[in-house]
Amino acid sequence: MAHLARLRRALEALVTLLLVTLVTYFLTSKLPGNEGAVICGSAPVSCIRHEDMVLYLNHPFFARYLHWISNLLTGNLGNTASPPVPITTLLKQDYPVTLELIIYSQVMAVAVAIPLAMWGALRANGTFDKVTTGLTFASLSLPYFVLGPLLVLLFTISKPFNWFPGVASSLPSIWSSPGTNLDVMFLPSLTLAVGSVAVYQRLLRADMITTLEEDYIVMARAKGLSTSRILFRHALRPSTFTVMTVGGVQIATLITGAVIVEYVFGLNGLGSALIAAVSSKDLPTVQVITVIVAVAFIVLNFTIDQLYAVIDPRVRRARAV
Amino acid sequence: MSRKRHIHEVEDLDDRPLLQVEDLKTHFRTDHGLVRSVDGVSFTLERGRTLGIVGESGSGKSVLSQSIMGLLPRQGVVHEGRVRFGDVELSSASTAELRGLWGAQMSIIFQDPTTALNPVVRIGRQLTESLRYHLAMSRFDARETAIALLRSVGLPEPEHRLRWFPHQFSGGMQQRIVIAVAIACGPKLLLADEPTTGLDVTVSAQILDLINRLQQERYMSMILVTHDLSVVTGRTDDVLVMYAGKIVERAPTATLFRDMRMPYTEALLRSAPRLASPSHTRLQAIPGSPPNPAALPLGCRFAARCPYAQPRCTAEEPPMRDAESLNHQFACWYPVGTPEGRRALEENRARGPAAVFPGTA
Repeated sequence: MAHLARLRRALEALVTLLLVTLVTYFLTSKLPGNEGAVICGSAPVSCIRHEDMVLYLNHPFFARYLHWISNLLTGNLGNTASPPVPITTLLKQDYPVTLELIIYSQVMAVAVAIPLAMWGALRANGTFDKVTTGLTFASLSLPYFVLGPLLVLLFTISKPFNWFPGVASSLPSIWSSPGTNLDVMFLPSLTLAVGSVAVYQRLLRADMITTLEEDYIVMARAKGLSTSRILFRHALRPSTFTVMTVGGVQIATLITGAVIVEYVFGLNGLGSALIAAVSSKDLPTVQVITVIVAVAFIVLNFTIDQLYAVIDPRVRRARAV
Repeated sequence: MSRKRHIHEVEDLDDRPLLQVEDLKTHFRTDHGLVRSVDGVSFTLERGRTLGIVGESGSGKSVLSQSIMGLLPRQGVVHEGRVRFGDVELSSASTAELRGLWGAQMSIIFQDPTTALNPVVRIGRQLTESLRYHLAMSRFDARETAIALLRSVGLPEPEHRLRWFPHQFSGGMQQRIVIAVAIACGPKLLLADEPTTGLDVTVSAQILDLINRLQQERYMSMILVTHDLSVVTGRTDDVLVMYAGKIVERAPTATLFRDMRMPYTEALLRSAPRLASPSHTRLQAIPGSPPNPAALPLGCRFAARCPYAQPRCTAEEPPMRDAESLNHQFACWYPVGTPEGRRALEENRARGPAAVFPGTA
């Protein structure tokens, strides 16, 4: 039965995905200028005889959508507008940077937020709690485009704090030289992480305070267990539901953030590619990147949905019934 | 990393009681003022003996049991008085010292088994963690001990149940598991805080019998906290009756039922169903509710609800005094079963229920 329920959820996710592509396609097709002109850009008039062009002009919206989506599903992402380069080539260079940026920043954020939240919850409204809550709240109001340049100024330029390589340093692959790679990616990831720390710390702290009042925590204390054992083994897992849910939604903010951070630090990721595509009215690329972001978002939230069952055995059972 | 941990072994001093509580006060600082939940409680508990603490909800009995163990937070709570456990002064012990005693030397069984077990941790680990922590057992030994413990509390097929989560058991079975957790390390003192409140009557009797059997087999001292006088009948050596944070009567269990002095004890007994009484006996609820522990009245705290109450009761607080029978004390100006008491009751009846104090109507 559990498998059947999971299958249903997977199907739901799939339907959502299709709807997302439809909406994306619809919205991007409504961008200023007609699609034909956008596709041809400044290309010569001969472009109009191009088969794609013919297709666009002679078919209604849904036919065009179906053509586009079936190409997408078979892995044919199409070409960029001008010069016509396969979008796949572009993505192959760009997506690892963005992916790394997001993962790196979230690892940082979680690593900082969990201890802050735990310690704050343990002595709720104590000095430490008040200071961290105040600081994280303040950091929430720091936009990426302020924080990024600030970090660059502080930690890349003048001695003695020029610990990190400057903007637009060449980025080697994480597989070939992980040290340099993580070094270059540190400040961009930190910029992206700061806002997430605030969100995670506050949510986890709130849930943690509730959890710590539960009978089973008093019982764990009455067993004589150490505070760290109680926090990590007994209190952490039941306190993560809100953080997980919001973490999934948070990824959307992160992608927007990645666009800015990549731009500030001169990294060639999906964000920079998207900006470039938008400013050159490269419609096919915009569409593909938007769809990729949407897919990532849905897949991640679907995964989180499945994770609830791993974390809470009661959910596992509820699904099974 | 060595898993050995220091356990403070309580000295076996035969002449000294296991637990001595002296004038224990637990007051909570709240926005509505100081809540005096436990207000000067003293008693001693000998090794291997059982003590019942009886009172309505709100009488401070649950706070008392957590206060004895030292489980309550230090911030926002006023702790006064002394609690001596063996040769350890609990009231001045450090958290680390307490941690060495908790679970190992003194354990507590909570009211509601459905919330006392961690819902996301398998019961096997909830059982073995204190064994491994306090007794430095190997994984294998801890597992074997856990199986033996579950068998001793009457859980069928314990080998297969270790990997189960709490929600997969019924309430009664969950309470058996909680009991197994509590007795795992062989504590000398077991506090049972309303251990059967959430369970139905038949299961409740089984659980109480189980706790009693384990207490005798393991020669533990036990404090059984309950709102139901019938629970302590035949199960505890002595009984303390608590009202509004104070002890109002104490006696050996049999004496208390035979020869109670405190009108509150009488009222409690009348409000509890008894198997011995004929069927359809009307239960008499105690009118009103316990006083607000943030604004306690002058005089006897039970006066406003007491059918014996006289003007003196609201003016002067009755001290604890000895009854004729051995080890029996009570705090009342017009005790049950005495000429003064009888006279007070008759006077009140003649005047009608609302005559004495407007608050009683």
